[in-house]
Amino acid sequence: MKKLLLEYSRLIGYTFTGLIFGLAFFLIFLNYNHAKDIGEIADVSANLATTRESVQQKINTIKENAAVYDPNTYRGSYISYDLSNIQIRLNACASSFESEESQAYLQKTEYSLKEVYDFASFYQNKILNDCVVMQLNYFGSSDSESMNIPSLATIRPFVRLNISKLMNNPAYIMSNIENADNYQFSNNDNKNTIFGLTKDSYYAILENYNASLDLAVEISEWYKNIVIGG
Amino acid sequence: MMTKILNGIFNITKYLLFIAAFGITIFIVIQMNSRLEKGFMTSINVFIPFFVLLGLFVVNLIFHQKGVSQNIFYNITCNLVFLTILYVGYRAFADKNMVLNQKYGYGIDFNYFNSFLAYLKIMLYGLCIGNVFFMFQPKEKKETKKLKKETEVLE
Repeated sequence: MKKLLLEYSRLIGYTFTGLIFGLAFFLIFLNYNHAKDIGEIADVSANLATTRESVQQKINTIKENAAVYDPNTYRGSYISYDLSNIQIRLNACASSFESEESQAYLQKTEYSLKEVYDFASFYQNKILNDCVVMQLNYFGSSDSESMNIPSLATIRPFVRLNISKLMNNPAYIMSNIENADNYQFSNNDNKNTIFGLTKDSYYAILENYNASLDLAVEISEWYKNIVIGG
Repeated sequence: MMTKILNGIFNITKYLLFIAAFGITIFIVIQMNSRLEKGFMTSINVFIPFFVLLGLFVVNLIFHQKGVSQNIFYNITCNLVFLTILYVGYRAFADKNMVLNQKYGYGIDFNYFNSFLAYLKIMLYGLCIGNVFFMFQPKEKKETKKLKKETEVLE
């Protein structure tokens, strides 16, 4: 009886040890796979030159439209203070997009997950905050009602809608990247056809970047029209 | 012969890796607690399996329990478990693609290590249970012992 119990004791011991052996192996390979997964470098060189040209063109458009107003030569009906206010805001936005940091991100052809996160942080702080919230949000808020420009009431809902769309996206993308430390399985088919965290996050941020720039261009076009028409 | 040599190596590295795994775990957990301004005792349950396993290793050494010390499978498993703990701890520090590593300026991804703690406890408690069961070995008969000694002499 005692011998039988001792044999069973060894058997149970091997069972437990075998299970722990399997678990440890599984965890090592899971972590190795996860490290490889999130260490992926995304090649974003496709269409990058076209994107850079398009961005520069839009920045030039904003600057040209903002420069239409000259307080020395303006003879229109709108208050100079209001027009100067809008001009300063548009120029400030153009500076955000034209900054060295912004241009550096558009020059990079390869991105790691950390670099995409840094790009998202840059977009959130320097573009979304400094340009969209601090400058362009004014046109969608009730603060701009003090301006005596009737067409501003027409564009106000458009500005509000676009800004609220822009505000929600980056936080979601950054949160997704922050949660990448949770274990996940992925493969190339999944990344190419459904979702690749690094590449898709980069393109989502770039899309937001372009959308912010487009909003600034639209407002600058409206500004040009009121200066020339006014 | 080869098995004996390998077992000897794994037996020694088992203790070294245990110390390293315990060290990295306690360091990360203390950093985690200090960030939340919590005392060490709030996470003592993470270290209980380490202390139990240490106690069992000490018992194995004192009583020369061959069922454990000469069990190559158990020693390999111990090495693998401690290597896993070390690898996860290393990644919590070194893998910068896990952005929470640097977001709050601590240089450690606490969220990642925290999600591993349950596995850590399972593995260590599993090793403890295995250790206990391997302690109980049937005593070798005198005849078998004599035969073994004669074989060793011939070799």
